[in-house]
Amino acid sequence: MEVSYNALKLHPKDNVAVALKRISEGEIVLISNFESNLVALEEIPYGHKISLHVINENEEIKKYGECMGKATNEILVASHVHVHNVRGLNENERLEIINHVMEA
Amino acid sequence: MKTFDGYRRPDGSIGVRNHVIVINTVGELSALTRKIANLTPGVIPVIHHGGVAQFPEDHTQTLRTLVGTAGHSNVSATLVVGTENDPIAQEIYKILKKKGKPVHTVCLNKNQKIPEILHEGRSWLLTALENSKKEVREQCDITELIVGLECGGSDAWSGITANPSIGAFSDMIVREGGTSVLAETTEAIGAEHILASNAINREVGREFLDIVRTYEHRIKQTGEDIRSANPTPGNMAGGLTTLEEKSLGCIKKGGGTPLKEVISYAGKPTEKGFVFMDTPGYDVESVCGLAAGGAQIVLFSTGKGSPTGSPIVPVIKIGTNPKVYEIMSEHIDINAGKIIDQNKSINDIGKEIFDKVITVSNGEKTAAENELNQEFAIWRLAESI
Amino acid sequence: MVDDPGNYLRQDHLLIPSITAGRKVKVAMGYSFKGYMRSDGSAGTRNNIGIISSVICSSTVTNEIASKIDYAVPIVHSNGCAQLGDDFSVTKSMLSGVAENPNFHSNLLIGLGCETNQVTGLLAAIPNVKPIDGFSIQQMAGGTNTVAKGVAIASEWSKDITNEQRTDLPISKLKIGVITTDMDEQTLAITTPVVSALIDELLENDSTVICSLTRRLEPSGKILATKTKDTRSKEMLKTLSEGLNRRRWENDEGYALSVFSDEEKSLAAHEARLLGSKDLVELLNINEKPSNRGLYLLKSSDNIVETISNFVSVGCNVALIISKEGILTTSNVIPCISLAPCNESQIHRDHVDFYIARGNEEKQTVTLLEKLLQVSSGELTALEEYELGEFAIPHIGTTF
Repeated sequence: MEVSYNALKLHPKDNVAVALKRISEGEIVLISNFESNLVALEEIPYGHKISLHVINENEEIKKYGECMGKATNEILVASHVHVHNVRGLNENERLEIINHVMEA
Repeated sequence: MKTFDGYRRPDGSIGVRNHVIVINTVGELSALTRKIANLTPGVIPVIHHGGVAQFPEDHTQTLRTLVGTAGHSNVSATLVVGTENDPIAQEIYKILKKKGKPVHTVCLNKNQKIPEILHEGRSWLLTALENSKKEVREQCDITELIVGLECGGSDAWSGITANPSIGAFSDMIVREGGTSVLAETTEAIGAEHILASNAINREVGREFLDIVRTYEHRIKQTGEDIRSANPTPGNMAGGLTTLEEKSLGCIKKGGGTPLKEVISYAGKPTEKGFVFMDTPGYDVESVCGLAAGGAQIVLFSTGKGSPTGSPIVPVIKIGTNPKVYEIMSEHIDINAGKIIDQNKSINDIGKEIFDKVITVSNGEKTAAENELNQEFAIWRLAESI
Repeated sequence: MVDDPGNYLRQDHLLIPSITAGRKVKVAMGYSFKGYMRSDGSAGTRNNIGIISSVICSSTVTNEIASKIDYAVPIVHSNGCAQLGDDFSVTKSMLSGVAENPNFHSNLLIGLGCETNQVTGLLAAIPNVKPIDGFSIQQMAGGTNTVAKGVAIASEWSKDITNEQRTDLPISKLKIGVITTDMDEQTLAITTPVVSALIDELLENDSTVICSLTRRLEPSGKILATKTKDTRSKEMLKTLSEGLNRRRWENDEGYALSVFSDEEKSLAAHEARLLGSKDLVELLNINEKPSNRGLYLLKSSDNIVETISNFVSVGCNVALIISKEGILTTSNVIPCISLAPCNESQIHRDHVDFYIARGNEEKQTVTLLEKLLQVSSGELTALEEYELGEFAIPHIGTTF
């Protein structure tokens, strides 16, 4: 029988998954490419992100296996991950990544 | 070896269309040029308002775009409408003649009466149309194809469905010996390290980082911050959180093969394989640059649904989610939303895109061609003088 | 069908304008014209429907709607998205200014949906004085639905227009744009006496005259500064006279500045006399509307389509375009009378509306004023007859 997933983990390194449909608070989240099921702590709109682990303040948010920003506060597992708890990288952080890549 | 049926031009390039176009050199002639096209059904008008009152950086970019468009392999014949002793018209004429492309210039002497001008233009175009009908397609090698990679009206699914599928297609065509050209420098900001580290060598990587830095510099000179405009409110409502996230999704179109070359706006690739063109994120200007650089087809992923096309190249629209494909079906060719609700893989859609590129190259019309979407806009740099 | 060289012109209802016939008609209406009064006090010289595209992505749909409606004029352009700062502000205010132009009876705004320049933002920016509606292709789920809805709405306005009549209006209701392009000493020498006298006469009669301030006129900024009491304009004019200065971003130059040559200064001093003897109220920036009646300058470029469109967006209802040999494009919103000096070869160009000769200046000024009133009352200009109207938004920045 086919499992009906409602979220998708895009890359093994990711700590967030994308909601394939709107997920209500308390709804069970079945995640494609992820070993365990979660219970949503809050509503996750269609196309938005849900945390797969606890993410510490200033920890990188990983999507597509790459850093897409940093947590601005601690994010509990199965929370909505968006502009209220994530920021983009600042100039220094970006330069560090670029230099790291170009020196390798 | 994969093949398609295209038009072999005297200079050896291969077209997938056989358009007869009329193009103006300066803004003052735009209305007259449109009028000549309207009087000659079957002829495509390529209209712009630049070409005058421009600084050198704009002038050379406009000229390069006009030459690339007028001399494109998808074009059978070109009528150039210019002013008396028009240097742009002369330049286009010289280059097209050298390529062996049928070209004629109507260089206006203002002592001519308007009906005379219209008649001169129309007469030449009618003959060009007749001649174009005699040209036949022949079997061509897929290594001759240059495909532009573009996105517009992105949403949170772009980076998950359509863009990686385009990336899978890019890998396929590069493996077959063809060329794919990723564009939109703005949309690489925040993910430039990935493309740079994927470059064939350190120089190409540096060149790529340089164009990104120049772009950011230009934005700062205007007193603006790219982060204030990206992600857009629409992007955010759709679930995109940061500029990095949007850019990571955008560059998925480039796939995984090494970046061979970085070319300027409307520039021609000199290498086969995966190439990057320096263009704005503004989709119509970007498609215009890709076409002028020689791409015969452009792939265009869209999350919100955009109808835009090009006067000279078929633009294949790839919807990122099932909903956009359903409600905007008249503007979309391929549904990458099947990855979300029909258990299709990125490779499945990549293959579907590949097959579509072949059928469109053979002559099948795209949604944008059916709807006569022929938008054309040249990337402008400085203020008009 | 045999392809007779003249055939297609007739098929297209293209008529050779009867300029000579028009000019012989003696106007008997004095200093009034027949126009369309709007509820905000402005007056139209034409009565059309603006079908306005908010972004290039909706231009094809916009053109299609306009092609199906009598009196509809498509306002399409290459801007509307991926713009920042001043460049975006100009696009937005250009489009709201065009919608406000008194020559539009009503306006329909067509967007794509995901663009920077949102239709809702435009609707909020345009004063609510005449019929207006707007929506986007994404909102309507596709181009076909958008065209159907647009045609349904605009065809009602089109019926209203059929029933409207012109009424007698005072000349003070005219806002006349005076645009120069492709000028040289000789053209100025021949046209200045007549044009400057006409501008004086219009101002005496409480009209508003807005003249183009192009790079050719900028070197005379110090002379022009003495014509105005407005301190901001004085300062701006003096700064502009110091050298050509436009926004560009290549090679770290930021703002470019190159000094004007003596020839440029001399030509500019000559062109400054074209403005006539009256004081200047103010220098207007691209897209800035005049706050009152009187004589104004408007910052302009040598891109003629951008410049004519700029005059449309600041509320001009008619314009004079002065050039050496006439121009081949016009506005699709306001009538533009093309003026040129009589050429030695005496070739009659069918795109020039009015030739100015040396001498007999008083009589020519009267005839030109009569022509202006006739055109404002509905007589088509040569380029209107040929349907060669265009629209473009001035570029002041780059896209992203």
